[in-house]
Amino acid sequence: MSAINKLSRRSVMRGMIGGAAVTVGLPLLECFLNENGTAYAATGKTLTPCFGTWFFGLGLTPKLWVPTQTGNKYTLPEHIGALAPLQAKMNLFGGMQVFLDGKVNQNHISGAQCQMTGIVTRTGTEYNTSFDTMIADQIGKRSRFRSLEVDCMGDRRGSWSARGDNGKSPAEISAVALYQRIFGAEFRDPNAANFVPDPAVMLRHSVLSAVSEQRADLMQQVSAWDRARLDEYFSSVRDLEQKLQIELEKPAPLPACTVPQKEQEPETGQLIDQVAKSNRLFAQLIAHALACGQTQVFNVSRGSSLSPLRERGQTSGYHQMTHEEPIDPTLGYQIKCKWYAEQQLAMLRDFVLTLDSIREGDGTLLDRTVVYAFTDHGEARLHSMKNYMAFTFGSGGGRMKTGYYLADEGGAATRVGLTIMQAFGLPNSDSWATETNHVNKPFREVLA
Amino acid sequence: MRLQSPHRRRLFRPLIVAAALAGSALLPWQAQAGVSLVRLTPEQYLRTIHDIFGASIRVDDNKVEPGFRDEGLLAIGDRKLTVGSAELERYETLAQEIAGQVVDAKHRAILLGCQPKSEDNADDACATEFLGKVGLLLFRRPLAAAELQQYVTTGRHGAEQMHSFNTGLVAALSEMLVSPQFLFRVVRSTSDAAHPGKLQLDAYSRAARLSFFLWNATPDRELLSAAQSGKLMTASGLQQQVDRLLNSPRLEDGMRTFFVDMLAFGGLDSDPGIDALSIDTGFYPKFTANVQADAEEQTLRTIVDHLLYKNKDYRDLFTTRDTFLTPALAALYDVPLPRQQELGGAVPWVPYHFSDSDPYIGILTQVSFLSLHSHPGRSSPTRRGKALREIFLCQKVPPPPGNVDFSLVQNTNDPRYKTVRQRLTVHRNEPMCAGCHKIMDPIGLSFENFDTAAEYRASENGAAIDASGDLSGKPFVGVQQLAHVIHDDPATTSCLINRAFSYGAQRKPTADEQSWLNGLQVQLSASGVKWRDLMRAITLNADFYSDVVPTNYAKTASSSR
Amino acid sequence: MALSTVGVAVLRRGGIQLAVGALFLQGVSTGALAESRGYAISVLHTATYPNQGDCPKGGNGGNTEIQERILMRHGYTKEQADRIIANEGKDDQGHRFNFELRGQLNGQAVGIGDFPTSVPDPQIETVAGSGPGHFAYGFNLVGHPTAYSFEDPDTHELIQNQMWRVLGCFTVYQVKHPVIPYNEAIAWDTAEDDMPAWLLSISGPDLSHDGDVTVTFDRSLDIAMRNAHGVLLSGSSYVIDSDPRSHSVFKGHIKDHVITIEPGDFAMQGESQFYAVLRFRQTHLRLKMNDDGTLAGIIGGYQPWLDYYYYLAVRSEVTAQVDVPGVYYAMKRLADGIPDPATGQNSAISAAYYFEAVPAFLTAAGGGVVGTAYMRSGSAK
Repeated sequence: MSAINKLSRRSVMRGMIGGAAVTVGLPLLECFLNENGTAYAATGKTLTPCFGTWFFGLGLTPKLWVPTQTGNKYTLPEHIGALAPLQAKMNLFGGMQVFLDGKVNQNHISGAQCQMTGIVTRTGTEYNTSFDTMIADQIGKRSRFRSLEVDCMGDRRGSWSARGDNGKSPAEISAVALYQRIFGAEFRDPNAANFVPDPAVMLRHSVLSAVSEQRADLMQQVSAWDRARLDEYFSSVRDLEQKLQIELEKPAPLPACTVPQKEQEPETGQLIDQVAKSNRLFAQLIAHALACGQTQVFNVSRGSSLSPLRERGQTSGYHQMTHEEPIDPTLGYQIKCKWYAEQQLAMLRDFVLTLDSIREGDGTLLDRTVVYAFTDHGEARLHSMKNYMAFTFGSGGGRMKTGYYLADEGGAATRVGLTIMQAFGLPNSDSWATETNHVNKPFREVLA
Repeated sequence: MRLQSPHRRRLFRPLIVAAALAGSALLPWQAQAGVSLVRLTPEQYLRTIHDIFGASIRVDDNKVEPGFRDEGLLAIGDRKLTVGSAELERYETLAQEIAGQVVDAKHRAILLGCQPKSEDNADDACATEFLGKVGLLLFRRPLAAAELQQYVTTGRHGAEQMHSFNTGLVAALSEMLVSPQFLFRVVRSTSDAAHPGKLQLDAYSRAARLSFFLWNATPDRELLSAAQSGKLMTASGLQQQVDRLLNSPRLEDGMRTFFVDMLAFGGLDSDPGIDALSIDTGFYPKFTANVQADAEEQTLRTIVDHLLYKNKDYRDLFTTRDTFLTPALAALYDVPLPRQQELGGAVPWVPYHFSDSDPYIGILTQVSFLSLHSHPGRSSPTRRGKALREIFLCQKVPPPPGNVDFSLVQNTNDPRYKTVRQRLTVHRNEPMCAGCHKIMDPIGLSFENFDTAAEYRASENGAAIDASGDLSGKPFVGVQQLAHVIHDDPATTSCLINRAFSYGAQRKPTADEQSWLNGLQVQLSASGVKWRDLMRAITLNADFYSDVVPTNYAKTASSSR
Repeated sequence: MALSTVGVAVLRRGGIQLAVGALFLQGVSTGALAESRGYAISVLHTATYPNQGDCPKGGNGGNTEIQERILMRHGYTKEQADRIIANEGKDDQGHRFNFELRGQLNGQAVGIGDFPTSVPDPQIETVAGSGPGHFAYGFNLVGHPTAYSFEDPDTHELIQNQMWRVLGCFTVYQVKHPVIPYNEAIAWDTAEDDMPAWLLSISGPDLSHDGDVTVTFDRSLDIAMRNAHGVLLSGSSYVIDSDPRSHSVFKGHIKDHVITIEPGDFAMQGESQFYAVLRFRQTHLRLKMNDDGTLAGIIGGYQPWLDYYYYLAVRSEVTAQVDVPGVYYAMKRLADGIPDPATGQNSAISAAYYFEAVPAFLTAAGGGVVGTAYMRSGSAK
């Protein structure tokens, strides 16, 4: 580390700004980095991988989604046939469980909580760090946004992502607001010819640095039981400093980056057509955000886990149906619920295909991404914690193999999260999760 | 005093404009036994900015983390919140926008209180004067000298770099606005030898707790003065401030915020909040967007008028026939709304008295209760029963067991089970389900004369509705009688009292405090459960200004990596 | 006091409603026990009833045909006229033909809406035939059959509806209920949102049975409210405008759930340009009381023909989809009522309008409920 690091960020900033604005090259600011981020490359060969989660509530129709053979030459059952165009880039995991270890089943919460945080808590209100933030820490340190959370049903509480143990990250519910946030005035187009750092942004950055400098003092004074929360506050300050810093640098060009059209705000609601529309809009925004290097990590949800998804003109929604619709005696399953599950799979397909539609060199954006699609119950009707299914899409730039169906009868569903963390090379990811959900065996078949 | 709309402009001067505190000796920041953080809610943030800088400052879209309900209250869940990345990003933008408006041509003459020697350079004297005043109000305590100097330095550097005094001031002010000292209420307390495990709030923290409880507002100058002089730590000084706050029209703000929390208008478990309500207008065309917009205000107006302006007993809220209606609500409730003025401008709220033959009685038959705890296309006795227990009786209903089989319950097309009651009877005969459902369904079924849009109906699918039920052994027929049963149940009063204390202290009461609250319930049940009496009793109790050391604050088993 | 839910239902829904507060009806003595039901008018348009054979010459068509004929009367051939219409009104030389200002008065071009006689009578086709088998809605206003009567399709009486004769060969009016003539549908729908509501109340000793009633029309001070489906909200409350210009009272009668009235004068002021005023002499009414509490039926009588003419002229030919001077001339010729004592020209024309009304609470400006919204409860959803 050079001596220049010892200077406070503010003092270096001051020196730079005195006088006319100058084009700031990357090396000059590298001294502000306190670790090596993965650099963007102009060629596209070593583009940063991306990771995202796509939560779908209420699972799938039991048994109907299960392929007859495991391995990478399996036939896709009709119930999940919507995913056929993606089968080669997809992995399906089945048969898994979430273990409660004697705790009350917080319906529609415990399952999702466990798969994202590795922990099942006693009450529905506690929540811990989710593993997507750990991946964000690994691959997303040089991004303008640490991660993006969106909800397609207007529920700010829909996301399952949390940085620290004090509440989930709120989800963005307005496509227009998200557009503004990413591609609004502060967006620096990586493919633009000229770049001039904005002195006003420099000033804001130095203000945040001053706030950061209070950290040591304040942490000492705050009581032990509140330190974690204060620490998370300062992590947020660092994230914001990071974001402004990025905005002060000339970004490396990204050929696949194009600024999307600004769309009209769709009506937010719980009706299937409204949610599908939101899903498509957010898919566009996220795909462009990833292609333009604005973030590496995203989380998509559709309302709270109770999935208030509804069909126009029906008195009951999806969730009610799972409990109230009788099982058809001939067919052996709930007809309407199967239909609802397939609607959600269609939305999942639309989302993933949107990522796949952005070409980057020889491949697509999806090829350097891993999307983890997970659900709250193996069988929603009974709030069952067994027979979970999960999907991954994309290989994360070759970090995962795809095209597999793997069943782990009775194994912990946290194995999928562990596999993903190892694929991304997270340190200390030999094992994960607590109590009976603790795992140390990833699905090796899909690790590169 | 006429009821005012909740979004009225403030009519008093912004706090920042008044003279500085006389002889403000800035206190050094001492290490306290307990320094705890409570994040401001978005509403508190907005109100604070308007109180300090005036209502003409625009604060756009500060809806960030909506918070979560713990032990029945958002106020308790808020204790666990921090400021996440996306939220801080939003707050920093807001800080820039707010600070920018404070120094703009329209505002700076009034708000700054001093002029720099030159607009193009730093001016430490003016900056010190302004930032000292602002810091006191934003941080709810005076700034230490070194602390103030830091902000003045930020201001100076900004002014020098950008050749503008005002831009420098924006930098300093925005630094304050994103500081944890502002975004969190910093609660400072000392340990109390007489009560081990309890912490006593210091004067400024006491002022903040009192002000946010009664007014949901940042402490004003008078309250800060009382803290500074030490008067607030004395019984008489406290009494004086309590009386002042209780006599102010701002008491309505605090009351509204409390009831929005207690009545779960923001959502309760699987019941969405009023904003997210999605009643299917295909089936209920009278449930227009106007009705949804008016629902919360109808109930809040009823409560405020009853408790604050008429000084009536809380229990009578369940049996009162008085409320306020708009044309949209009147059409939904199917009652005429005679009024003196023309429609065409703002929708008027008209006081309305339901006659004894009308089925609408008390706040339990208003849209804000009936529709909030329903399905979009049909009513739900279970949800209504659960909501009544949890919200008004403070009784927790356990969640369904993990492996419950609902297919036993409902086939809405089965001709044997025309009414919801008939269907739920099957439900409650199943032993696995009966345990919980017998405490929810009988209550909820009495509301069955009201559909999911709160409209009255005598029959369902052609069968007459039987609205009989029982509450813990007390039988009743229909909501008219249920209202009286709720009125007379001591749990109703004790629930309000407990919620009020917990809301203000933002924690559950300790065992000793619970005993005291039980005694208060007996006392007020006899003398009348009046809002001001309840507020006075709580805010004059020293325990209200204490906190407890959490017993297991060590992180729960963190994920092993 | 504990009320059984069934008891409450009867009191509230199925039984006799007691009017709260005084009845403010003028000129009507109130019985010891009286019922008054209020309504707001939700739909209003000319009562159309097109039939084969109405227009043996082929009819007047729609805008294209109307404009063709206008151009041909101005000397263009049919081919030239069609080219002009296809070319946004411009002829081969690029001159735009001004349809609205095609009249000539004292050597100046004038608007044909304001000056319909500034062009010669285009002799629009009017509905042919009269007597049984030739249909139109309406009422018998003269007491005896005439050479120009129609047969009412519901009552089969011989009635007069010369307004239908004038309008019925234009395509825009050749629609049958529930379709509404386009120009009137648009006008009414727009007016509903910013025009004070038009009200109706029926009062009598017992409205569930046959008997005498009083039918009162009033205007409101309030604009009509819509429900989530976009139709008028049942159960809204309206304050009655005490302005006597829109207050019309009729003696009426209910028989088999149909209300009729003894003829009288009707007037209702509108506020938007489309319905400045609606008025009839010798007003007749037949109104069905539906099970769900709504009303639907026909109102008619002698309407000053210039009232309707101005409505069309203000809309302009293209939106009204008629030949405006053509209608003027035809109405003047076919008008059949209320002759001007000096000139002998009939100032009114027999007409019939279809309208619907939904239950509403009517209140007097000083407070007090004058009409209640009566809806028989349907079964719950």
